[in-house]
Amino acid sequence: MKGAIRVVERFYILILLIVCIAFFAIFADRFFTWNNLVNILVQNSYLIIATIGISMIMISSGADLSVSFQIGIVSIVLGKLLTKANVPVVLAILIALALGALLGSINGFCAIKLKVHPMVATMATMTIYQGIAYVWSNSETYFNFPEAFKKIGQGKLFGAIPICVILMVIAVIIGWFLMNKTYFGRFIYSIGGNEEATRLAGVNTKKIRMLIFLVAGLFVGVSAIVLTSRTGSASAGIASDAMFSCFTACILGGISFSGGGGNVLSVILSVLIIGVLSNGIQMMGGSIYVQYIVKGVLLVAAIAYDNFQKDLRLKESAKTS
Amino acid sequence: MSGETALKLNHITKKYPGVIALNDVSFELLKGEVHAIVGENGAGKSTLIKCLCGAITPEEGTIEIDGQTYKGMNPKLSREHGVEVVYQELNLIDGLTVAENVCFGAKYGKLVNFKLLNQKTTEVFEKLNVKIDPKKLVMHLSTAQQQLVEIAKSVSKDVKVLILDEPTAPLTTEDVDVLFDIIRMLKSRGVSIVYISHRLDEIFAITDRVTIMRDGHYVTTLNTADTDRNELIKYMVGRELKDIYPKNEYVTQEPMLELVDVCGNGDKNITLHVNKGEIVGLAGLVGAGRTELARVLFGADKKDSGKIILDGKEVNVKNPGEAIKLGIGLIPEDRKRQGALLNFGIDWNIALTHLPKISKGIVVQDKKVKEEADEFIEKLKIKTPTRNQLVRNLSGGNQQKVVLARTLVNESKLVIFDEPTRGIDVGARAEIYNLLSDLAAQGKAVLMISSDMEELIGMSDRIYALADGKVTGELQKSEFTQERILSLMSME
Repeated sequence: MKGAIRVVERFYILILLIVCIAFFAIFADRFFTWNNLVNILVQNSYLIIATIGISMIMISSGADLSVSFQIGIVSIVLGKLLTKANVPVVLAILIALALGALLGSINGFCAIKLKVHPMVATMATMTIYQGIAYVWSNSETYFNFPEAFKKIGQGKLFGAIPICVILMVIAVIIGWFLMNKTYFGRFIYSIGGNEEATRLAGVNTKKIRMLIFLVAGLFVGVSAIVLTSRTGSASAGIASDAMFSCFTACILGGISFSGGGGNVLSVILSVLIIGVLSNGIQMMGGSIYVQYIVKGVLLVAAIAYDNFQKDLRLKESAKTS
Repeated sequence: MSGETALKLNHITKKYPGVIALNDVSFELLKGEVHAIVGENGAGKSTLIKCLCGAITPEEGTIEIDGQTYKGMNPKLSREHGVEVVYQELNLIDGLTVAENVCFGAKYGKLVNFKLLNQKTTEVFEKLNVKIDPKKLVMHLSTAQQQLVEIAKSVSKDVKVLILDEPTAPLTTEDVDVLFDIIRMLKSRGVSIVYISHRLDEIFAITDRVTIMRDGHYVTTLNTADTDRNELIKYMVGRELKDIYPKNEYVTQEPMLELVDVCGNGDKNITLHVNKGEIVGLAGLVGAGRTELARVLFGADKKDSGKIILDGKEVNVKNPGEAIKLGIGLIPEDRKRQGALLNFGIDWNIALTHLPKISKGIVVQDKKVKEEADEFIEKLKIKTPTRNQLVRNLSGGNQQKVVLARTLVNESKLVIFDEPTRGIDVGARAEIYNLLSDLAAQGKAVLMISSDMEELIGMSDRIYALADGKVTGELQKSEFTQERILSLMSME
């Protein structure tokens, strides 16, 4: 029995994902088909790529609420460059990545140099970015992207494997590698665990935190490219729900509010849980508003579970002392 | 002391998975006595307190209080019997005023009546001879003042048994005197006091009887007047510890660190030097500017002016990273918040300071991390089942060794210890002292900040006293006396 509980605790995200899939496989008609499952991966690839970046920020006990409109701005710039200015695709992509890194760095600047709490700093940049995105695009939507660009989100390798899923897998591998094998990743965890102690251990924590925001911005840039290409359109509000999903996935994936814990793989599984829920509800005929309700409940439940775990740990450590 | 029993524990046993925290422990507290409980960390003192105040329920045994016998306490019941605990970790609410904290839980009418609260608090403070403004916010008090507020809070209730868990840890010598006056006053009112402390001289100064515990067992109870520190230590560690301070024979006359008129972070014109192979003590009250000086030297806080000369070269330390590169190591005062990363393993804690150095490109070489951890676990005799044991689960002494390992891994020339043995038990203290003197023997310079007079006198080759951000005196080893140090510390 104890062993079973431990397995559940360790793999609760995976188990939760399987339970969700099983539920919809039984109750939603067209859910459990190859096409639909691939579709879920394709639809959520941009979200997973963005969440890898956001999870780095959250593990270092930061936050980023501006992700939706970071994607919005990058998307619009891509739209302007590719459908109006006819810039070469490769150049447009490079500009998009640089822009992502810049927007991330602006968040970092506000949170670290100006010493505004990251939650508040990025709440401010969220509305700033939102404003910029709508003003710049005049609330327009851009269509007619070049074929080469659309391949990223719509193309398939060997006619079977969607390119955006491949990009997603590469991003996951890079994210996992960065977090677990490099000193950059170890610093992210140690800053989240105790920033002052990390600083006194000789780590330039401000520089590392700036770098985290920049790297996260790069991931968000890639995410914007994938999303814009897949939908074949660019608009300010293209990813307006992304922030909520990223945030929920990070918490569900075991990143504590105070930072320090969690790992990239659980966070990614959590994005898939949210993706499966959205898709499954749709298949059962639920509207987007039903999805909102379910996502909200999920967020509260995830935080409650996180607190429950913390209490448990406290009790255990009280026993040993 | 009346000879009447205030409280009695009979054959208490408390088990946790894997350990027996208390094994058939009996303990009797008389009315109006100050009763010390001593023992190394893990001896079961904290568990005993938790049984007394009802935080936990023992499996076996009974608790007698006010003539009634209970199987176990609960927090409400123990309060009703007038048992109050002042824990090592303070339980004050930072954002409320001193008066609100002192009167917390008491209700005077429907709205908060600040005037009444302040008045009640002033009364309590007057009785205790505590000089703190009741209107101040707790967050604006020093740790020592907060400790006194915490005690006043317990006393403001109808306390019959007051349990003090390491009450002097954050206190300076002066504050300790205030605390002792409070204890004597309570005692004369018939309050029984359980006094837990690592500082043996305090036990001899204030307590009537002392109970010694070891590894969850009751060892013995002695009249304080009939025993001495050697006997206590013998009982505590189960062996005799003769002189725990090693002799340092490697002092040179070559300076490793020289400070000339260093100002900043509240310190003014600090001029001092530490020679190679020398252990220099910094004496002073809390707030005298010792920790502040250490942080300036380590680049954690800014220097305004003055020269820092390390090993013959003037250095400008901008941040801790640079300090480490220059060969300065700091073992901070607050081990848990500033020293070790509690949720990381020993291996990663040691590796943290120089991760880029043991990486290929940006990829950390796990093998090196492990080898290093093993090396230092062996060298410093860190007691742990595995190298990736979370530092949270280590004892204070072993946590300190992990932080020390970092300065060794970086081959520091100057090691600054801020309160090297705070909260560390007697046995582990001796080990830390040996490590300190090993550092000196290797020709390193050691700067030791300590509020433990005995440690300061025992370990230092030379002592500087600081007061109010200024150096007030320098003493050679032959001049060390508690009185001289104290008088320099309290100079204006």
